[in-house]
Amino acid sequence: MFAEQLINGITLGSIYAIVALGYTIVFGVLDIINMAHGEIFMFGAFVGMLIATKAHAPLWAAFLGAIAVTAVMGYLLERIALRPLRGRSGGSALAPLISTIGVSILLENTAHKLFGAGNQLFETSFAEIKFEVGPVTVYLVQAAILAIAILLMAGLWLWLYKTRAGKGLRATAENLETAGLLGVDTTKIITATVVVASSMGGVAGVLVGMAFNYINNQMGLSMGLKGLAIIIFGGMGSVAGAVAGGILLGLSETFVVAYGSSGYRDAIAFIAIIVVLLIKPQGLFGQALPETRR
Amino acid sequence: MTLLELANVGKRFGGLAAVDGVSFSVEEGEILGLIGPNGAGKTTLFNLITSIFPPSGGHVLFRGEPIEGLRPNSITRKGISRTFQNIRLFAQMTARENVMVGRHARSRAGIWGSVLKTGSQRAEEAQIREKTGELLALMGLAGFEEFPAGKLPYGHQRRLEIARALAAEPKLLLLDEPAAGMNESETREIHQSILTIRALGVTVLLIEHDMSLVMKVCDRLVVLNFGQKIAEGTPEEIRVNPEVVEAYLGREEDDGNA
Amino acid sequence: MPFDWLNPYHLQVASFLLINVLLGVSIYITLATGQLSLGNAGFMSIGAYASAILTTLHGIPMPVGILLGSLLAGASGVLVGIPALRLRGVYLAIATLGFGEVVRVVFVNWESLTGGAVGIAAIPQMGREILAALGKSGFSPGTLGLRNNQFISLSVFLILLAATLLSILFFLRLSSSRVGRAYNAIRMDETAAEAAGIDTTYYKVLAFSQGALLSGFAGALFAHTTSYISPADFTYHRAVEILVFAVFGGGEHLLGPVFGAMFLTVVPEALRFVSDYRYIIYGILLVLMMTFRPQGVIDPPLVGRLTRRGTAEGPWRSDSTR
Repeated sequence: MFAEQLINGITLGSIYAIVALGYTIVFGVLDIINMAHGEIFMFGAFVGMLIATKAHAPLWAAFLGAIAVTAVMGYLLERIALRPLRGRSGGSALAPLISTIGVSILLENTAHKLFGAGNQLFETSFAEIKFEVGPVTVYLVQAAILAIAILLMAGLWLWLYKTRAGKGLRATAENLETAGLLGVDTTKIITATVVVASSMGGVAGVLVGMAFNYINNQMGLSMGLKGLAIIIFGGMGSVAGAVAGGILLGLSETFVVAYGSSGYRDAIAFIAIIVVLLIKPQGLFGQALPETRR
Repeated sequence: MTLLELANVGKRFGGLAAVDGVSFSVEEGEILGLIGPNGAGKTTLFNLITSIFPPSGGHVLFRGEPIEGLRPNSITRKGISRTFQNIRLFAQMTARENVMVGRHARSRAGIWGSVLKTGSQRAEEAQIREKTGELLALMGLAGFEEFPAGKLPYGHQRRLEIARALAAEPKLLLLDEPAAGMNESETREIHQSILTIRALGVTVLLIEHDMSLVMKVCDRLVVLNFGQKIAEGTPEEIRVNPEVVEAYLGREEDDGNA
Repeated sequence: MPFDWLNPYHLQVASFLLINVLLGVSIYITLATGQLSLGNAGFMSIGAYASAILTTLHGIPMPVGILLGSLLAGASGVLVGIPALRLRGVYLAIATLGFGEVVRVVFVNWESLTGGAVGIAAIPQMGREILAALGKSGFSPGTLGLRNNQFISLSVFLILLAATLLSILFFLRLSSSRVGRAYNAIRMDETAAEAAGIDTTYYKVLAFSQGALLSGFAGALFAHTTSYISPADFTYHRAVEILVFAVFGGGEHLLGPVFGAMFLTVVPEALRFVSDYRYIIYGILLVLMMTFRPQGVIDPPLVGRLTRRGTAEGPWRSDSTR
């Protein structure tokens, strides 16, 4: 029924929002799109699965494990694939993009080797628990996902706006050079940003496992492109845009599947990318794209 | 005959008026200097004439025809060429190739002519090569044809940009600080080049900060300050114009602002 | 039999190599104007499906099908290239990636037209068609000293070889002409190119459609080589593979992706290890190339050095400007 679809949509949407936030803070600070973000998310899901389902450890351990692994992956990504490309004069903006594409296919196929193709079960002990709120059935899993997502977003907001490091990040996002001149350790900030974004991807991976109970090594690709669609729609670098766009995509997909044709579900995101880039390339909340000198 | 006419041309960027109600004309055959302190809007005016962006108001007429809505390449085709304040050569191309690109508007070979190497395409390529050789020699770059443009000495690069602009056979040439960063002897060469260009039938509109060059080579001057035209006249008239002097040197009294 | 060494499997690999070369060139053409298009897998599928459908369902002769498939892909290139004018760099790359995915999803879901995920089978195969046609006039491969399967593979290879060589020649000629100069100028400095009198809109869309047409051509040839296509042949992985040909082989000279496609098709065949970990190696290659040699293996100075062998050095050194 409608209310349940609404809850499904918001739950899915908040997971999307978390993934999109990972993209958006990296874009805000580095001006690049991390095409490997989706694959890091996928690894988070698998680590979570290994811990929660294979090792039968409690869920919080799965989260910790996923966060730890994806944080390290983010660090390595920044160190190896991104930092050497920075500050190269006349470097095209495409080089980091291509580099992260390289990392993404590396990760995707490593996962294929490690975990095999096909779906893997992600079982949580409380998958079946549900409760009635009036006429509506809500699963504990959904409530947990929503709660975690809100906590995460609140935590991110606090970090960005209330802590010194967060302010440093926003300054760096505003202007790398000036932030450096003002004494912000931009290298540390950049590394921290990528690590935080990747960990958020890891958390989202575990949440997806909780929500759908099945994960596979192709989900990184699909989630990656959807995350892209969201930030393009919401405005690259915009935190509000990532959240709004994520929820919106979650709702759209849920309703298209419920009331329309499920086959075209994945196309929504791609079509959204194309339409937005044509009509308002800066997205809902973004600033006008700079005139690049060619 | 009036070649170029600016009628109340303006350009706003957000709240800032970079160019505000500027009107003047350029007569065929003259060398007109556009001067003014930094930030006066001179290059913006060039960008408006060549349609890099559209004006916020006013009209630009070339040979009586309004050109402000046209694409830059159409304006080049109509007969206006330009150089850029920060040299924009194709650095990885050779000097000759840069000038050959400049010849694009005056040649026509398309896909099939190029792939099939038809007689007319080969003839056109030969003619392009010949013409570019002439232009390079004209601008004192003979012998440097096969140098990558980015590796040329600075003065040569500026002259190459002019050669490229001339390849389009303009009736009006816009030069944006052609003598910037040049020493005295190089500046004298630029002076000579400008006169040669005029002798070839090209009208010149020149932005320049080197006052000695400006005074010697220009027939008339237009002075801009803060986006507005503050004076127009011969070099002698402008030299003694109190508003112009004030614009460049600032007010005598300290009015508190910069 | 005198041609026992002629191995149909090797010929098949060589045939796929040639198709990869065409794909590599297709991404290079648009890149030559500074536009990175990651949607060529989509254009490839348009050419493949169009030709497959026309030849299987409507009995259109194969050469016509290939031609129409290519033209349809080229027309799609125009449709994509025009809106793409508003986009730069990263945004363009992602939009074209999205386009490729949309095409794939449409083909997967439009079952009545494309057979959906199952794909289209029994597509007329170039070699077999030739064998059948020649058989009607009494010819048999045995007279050439070839077995049937050798003949089939050899014909396909030779057709693809001709197509590839002609395409390379076409674009080599184009790149040293007025059109090629326009492409290069646009890539190096679009504003200056426009100011020099080049209609950048026309040439950017032209490059897009040429790249799309070539991808479609490769797709149609692919369909008539494998005789079976499905959406799985035209995924994001295919788009990335094409990208790797150009990035690794060289993005600044036509021969770059030619080399890249050849190298990256042959090596996995020769080294089983490489084939198993192919995409992992592609990934590492992309990262390494961007860090150490972003212009790719084959760059213009290298081509200059290789073609200048034996002649005196010019007055300047062609060292890397990177």
